[in-house]
Amino acid sequence: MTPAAALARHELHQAARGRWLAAFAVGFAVLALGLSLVGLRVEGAAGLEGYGRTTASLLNLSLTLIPLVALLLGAGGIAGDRETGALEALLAQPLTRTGFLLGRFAGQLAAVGLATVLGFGVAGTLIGLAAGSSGGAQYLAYVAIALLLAAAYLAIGTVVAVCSRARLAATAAALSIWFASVVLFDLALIGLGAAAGAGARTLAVAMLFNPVEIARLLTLLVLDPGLEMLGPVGGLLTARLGGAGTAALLFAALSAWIAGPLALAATIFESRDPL
Amino acid sequence: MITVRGLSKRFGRVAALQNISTEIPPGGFVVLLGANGAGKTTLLRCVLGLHAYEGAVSVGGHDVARDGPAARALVGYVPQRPALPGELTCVEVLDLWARLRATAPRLEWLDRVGLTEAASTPARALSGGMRQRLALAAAMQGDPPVLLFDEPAASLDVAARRALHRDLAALSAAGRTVVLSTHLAAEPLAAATRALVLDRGRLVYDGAPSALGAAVRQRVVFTMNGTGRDDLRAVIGSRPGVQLDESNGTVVATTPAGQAFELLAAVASAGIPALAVRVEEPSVDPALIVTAGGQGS
Repeated sequence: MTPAAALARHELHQAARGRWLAAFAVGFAVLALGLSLVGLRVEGAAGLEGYGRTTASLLNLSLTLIPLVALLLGAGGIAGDRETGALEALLAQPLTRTGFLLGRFAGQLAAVGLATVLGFGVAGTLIGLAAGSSGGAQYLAYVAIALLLAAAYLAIGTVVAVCSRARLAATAAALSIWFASVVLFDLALIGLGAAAGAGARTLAVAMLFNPVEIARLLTLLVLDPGLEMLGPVGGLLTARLGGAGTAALLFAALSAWIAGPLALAATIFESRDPL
Repeated sequence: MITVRGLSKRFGRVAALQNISTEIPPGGFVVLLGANGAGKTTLLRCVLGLHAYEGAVSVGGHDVARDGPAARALVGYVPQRPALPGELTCVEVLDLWARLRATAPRLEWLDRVGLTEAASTPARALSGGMRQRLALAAAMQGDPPVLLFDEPAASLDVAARRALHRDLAALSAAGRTVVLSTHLAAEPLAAATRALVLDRGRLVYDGAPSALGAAVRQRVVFTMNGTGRDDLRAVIGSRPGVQLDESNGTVVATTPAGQAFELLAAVASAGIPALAVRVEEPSVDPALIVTAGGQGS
């Protein structure tokens, strides 16, 4: 086991010992099941709703919660270690600073991923048993996109962590980024479209600057590639690139939001005194 | 084992280390002395590659700036504030440290530092002295040939401090290179084979501990209510090499190391009533260092 892998394992253990991992998993499972049941009640049917509607119902919720959890986790770890002195003890071990960052990132992603998969997995299994497997592939794709989104915001949180001297400052920065991504960005797009008269092309380019919007469009594309759900931006992209091309573009963009911030964090961490 | 050439480090406008050069061969027990802020911690962190610096530092032939992991693999480090993961038990801490060094855990170190009975106790539940010993056991994972200790005795009582210094001397006797950073100069100096003294970022002494001589001083603080103050001045003044300072309510005698208790005996036999007496740990006064017998920088 390499030192970075040992660090990842330790990070996952830490998360498993803390209660947040279980709370996060149970919360997601309850929400998935609850939204499925509520959706059915509205339609006057009995039993659990299928995968497709549950996924659509969960989308906005997970696009809000996953970035928040991932940002706070990514931003708090290193800044907190710097405060307690643990960073000094860990960096004195035989691993590179980049190895340290990647080990922490991998462990945190495994923790968030485990919680997400457990939560959605439990709900997904029950939905499948009650309502059949139709739409199961979409549900799995949705979970995979949620994991990519978590990785992107963990990476952004890692940049925050290496730039922050204290946990409080890191947390404040993480919350600001979350607010900007989840709330302000939508308002800015609306403003851009309505006030500045920006076209679908401009909005499509702008959308690539926000992982939440990328994940939203990618999930909608997986759920229903029809123009009604995708909106003008999605419509433009699918018209130009086709469904598969749009999905590839969005996947590449989301991956870039993981690799880019991680590379930036590693560059900053390697070039500055870390303590 | 450790080579430092022209090492300088600045924090903004503050020069924390200025052109330090020294060579520490394998084996031996080196005491790094200096007041708080002299640059001891910065020097150790540079040796570990935790700070960027000017100059060159290598450990076991591995350049720290270019090949940090290989250099750090040779070094066990106990920082001033050993921040071990509090929720891990002692065994789990050693397991983690061993994994970080890609080796099997050496749990016998729990026994060697007297923590066998606390093996399943979370690190956060240990006393300061026990945490320090756990940090030592963690630093020994991977059996590193070089050990760096940064003020490990700062939070320990006298008995724990003496035990720690005995441990360090034993590790050195077993062939490891031990570098101990401290601002206290009593017990470590007796066991050390070499002393380095830092003063405001400069290496002002590099040589045998015994040659530090009168530069090792010890303060005795008498708290007085006025009665007997003149007699105390007279007793202190009669003793060669003892410096007298006074402030409201206290009389401070700074003696050469080892003479503090002789002064106390003289004060007691003169029947001088002090409200309280405090004997501080010996420390090095860089201003009194004579470079003969060592290397001033």
